[in-house]
Amino acid sequence: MSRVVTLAAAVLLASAAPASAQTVTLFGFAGQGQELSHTAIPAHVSGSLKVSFHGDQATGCVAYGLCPYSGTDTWVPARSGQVDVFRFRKHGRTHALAIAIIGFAGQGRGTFSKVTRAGGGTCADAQPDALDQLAATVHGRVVSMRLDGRGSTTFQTRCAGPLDGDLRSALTVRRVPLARLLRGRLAVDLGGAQAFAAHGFAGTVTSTVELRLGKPKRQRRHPPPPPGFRTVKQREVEVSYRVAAASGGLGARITGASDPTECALLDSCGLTGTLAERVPARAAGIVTVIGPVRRPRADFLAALGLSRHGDPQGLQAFGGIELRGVPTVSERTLQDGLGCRDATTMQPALSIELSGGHLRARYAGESESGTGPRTRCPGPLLVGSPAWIAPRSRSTAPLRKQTTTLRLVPGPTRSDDGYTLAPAGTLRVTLTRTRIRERVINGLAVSPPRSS
Amino acid sequence: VAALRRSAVAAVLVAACASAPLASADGTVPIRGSLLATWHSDPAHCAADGLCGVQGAMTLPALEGGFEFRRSRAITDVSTFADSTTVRVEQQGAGAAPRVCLDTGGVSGTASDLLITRTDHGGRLSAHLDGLAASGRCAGPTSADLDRVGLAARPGSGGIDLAGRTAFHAGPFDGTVISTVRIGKVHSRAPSQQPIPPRARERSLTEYVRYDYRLTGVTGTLSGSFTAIGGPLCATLGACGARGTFGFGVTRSHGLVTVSYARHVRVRANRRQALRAAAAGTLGHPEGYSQDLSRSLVRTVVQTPGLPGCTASDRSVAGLFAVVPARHGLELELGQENDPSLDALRTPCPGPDFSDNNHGQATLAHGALPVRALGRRVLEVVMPGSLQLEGFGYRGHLGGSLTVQLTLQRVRAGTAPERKVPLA
Repeated sequence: MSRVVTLAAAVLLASAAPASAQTVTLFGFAGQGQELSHTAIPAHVSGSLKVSFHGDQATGCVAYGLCPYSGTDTWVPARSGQVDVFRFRKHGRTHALAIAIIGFAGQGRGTFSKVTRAGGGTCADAQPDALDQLAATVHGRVVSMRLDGRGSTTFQTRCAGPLDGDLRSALTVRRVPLARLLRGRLAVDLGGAQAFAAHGFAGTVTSTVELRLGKPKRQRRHPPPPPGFRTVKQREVEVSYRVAAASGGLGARITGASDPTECALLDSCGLTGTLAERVPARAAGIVTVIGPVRRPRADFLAALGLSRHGDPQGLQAFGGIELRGVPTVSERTLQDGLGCRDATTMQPALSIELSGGHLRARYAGESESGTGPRTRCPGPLLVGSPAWIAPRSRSTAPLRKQTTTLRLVPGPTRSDDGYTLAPAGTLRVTLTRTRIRERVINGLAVSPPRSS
Repeated sequence: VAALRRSAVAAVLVAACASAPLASADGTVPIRGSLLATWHSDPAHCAADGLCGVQGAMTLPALEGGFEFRRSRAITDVSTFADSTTVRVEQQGAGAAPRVCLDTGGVSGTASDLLITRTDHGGRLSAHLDGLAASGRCAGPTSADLDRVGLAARPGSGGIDLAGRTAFHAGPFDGTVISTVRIGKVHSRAPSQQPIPPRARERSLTEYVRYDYRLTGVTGTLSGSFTAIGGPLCATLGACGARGTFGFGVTRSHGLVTVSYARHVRVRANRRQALRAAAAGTLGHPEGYSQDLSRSLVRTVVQTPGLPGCTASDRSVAGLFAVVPARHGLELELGQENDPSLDALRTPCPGPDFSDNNHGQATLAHGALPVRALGRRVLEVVMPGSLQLEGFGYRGHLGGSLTVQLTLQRVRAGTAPERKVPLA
């Protein structure tokens, strides 16, 4: 499956690149040291996980306005998955890293929520597209496996309910010796029933999930390119920026759907609310351009907006600046006189695209798994939104200066299956260029068709 | 249409990656908006089916970048919508709280499409949905019902505006499709296929045999039963304790089944020699093709505790029969091809759909095409029901048998330059 994920990522990257570039970067084992081995173990996944919950005064449901909500979240995982175990050497010591992924849900699977509001309606929602990642932590020679990955959003739907982090203490942990895991052909039982109480909700997590691991397969350290692709040398020029200052107030207005049938089934009729984001002022990131190694450096610098000379034709630069710190998003909703307020952390990112002498920038808050920052209150999933964008016509010329300021304005109003989300406010981000790096890397290019 | 859609989706991936040759006039298009289908019971028609008190909704967000596949001057196929959707349906039982059915529809990696048709010389446009998962396993319109809904399409300087409301009627339901979709202009056209030099094509000789059979009769029925799987899964579908039956039959058989053999040769063979070579198995493996315009009828009866019994029939779409390669020749399949629009077992009642059927991978019935008997005036293919449902939500089986009668229409055989060979 990792090949599938890698290929999918490759295809996504390729689609973002101009047709003339026609290449994608090979994904490597970066940052963890020298890779010694990679073992992939296929997994068959069975069972499901049910969370039954209700508003809990003991953990503060009155303060959050979550007392009227009770319901169930049912997670039906995809049937297949894979556990990848990497061994690598770093600073003279051997380490191991395990990654367990249960495939894309879809196809009648995913997370299903049914939540009743006392004195109100019933919210029914599903999240079909989750890519579920297990937490697989290696401590010495033991792997701990649990049903929540880093930044997991498995239980986030548009209905009110606990977040993944609230359920952590109630999720079954199984410890498996690393050597035993690497032999495969093993059943990992993640079943069990445990109570939880956190942040205004209390309830029970009941799991019947089981992973049956198959025959392990040692992966080649330098796998051949996928069918239809070939490996080519490419030049990569990378510019590092840091955010010197960020200011502005960002928010969004939430309204429930206007169609009576749609809003009744999601219990969003008459709901209004606001989102407020706190923008962190310290951040760093890179903008990269990749192209044929034969093209001169000046072309790449021109594509990055750093030089007036050179031909940027056919090269497209893209990158992102992750705004680190403890960025939070606060949500307040009001429905039938009932208020709900909550806050959650998020991973906002400023994405930058330079093409044809124009700069496009977009600021949006997303979690690590790609879904939006949901709170425990009912509301939109916010996938990729709300977003603030730089005006399209902006030239790349200001990037030639060491320090430049981008002004982002609200993007268009978006509908999100039963909700409407209208971003508001402006953001000013001052970027300072810190480094330019150039290197030659292996990339993938589509093989030319064979002549008949 | 299903095959075209798959081609289009595959082409999206290929085109995204590079300059692999494609048919001309394909390209990526920006799309914005979403499509909402809502439905509710029609009081005048719902009682007979046991589907009164139902209301449901399904939203399809548009893909950020669609793909335009121009099928002809008049018809353009745009892969528009995301591959998954959420279906929400509520049914009011007698005196009880409403029963909620929640499902996710669609096939991973397969976009739903809009077929945009230029209807006359004045350039009027109309748009139709194609291949939606519709109401999934919940009560509601089928994929075929929504495919019949026409959307107003208005051309403009920036693209095509499909925004508007369209009412529809589907059996026991009345509904509305609300679109906010706007399709921009094609961003990038894929390069045209590189032409093969005419001389090279002329030089290549192909010895061929082609048998055309008409689909002249289908007898027998497929029947089976299903039950909802217990536990938390049935609560999601609002189907705990549900059980039912389905029956499937072909009411009008119409179509063409073609089987052909071909091999490159240097010396011309005449018709008799080609037929002899095909019979002797020296012309290689046969290839098959079907054009199925048959009509079929599926009837389901579902009993769910706390809800009125549901009895409904639905006419299945054409295109269910397909010829596929098999280990020893060819097989005739009655299947779903991983395609919600070919879900032969769905009716307006709640019940299993293609996702319970190994995600649409398994066929409903299949039987071997007697390739050794090709050339006879009449061929019969026996297709026993072969489906075991074992998915999230429902389990069950489909048995019975269909017998398909094929009548020879034409045999063509001989040798010709490659481009003139009348192969399917």
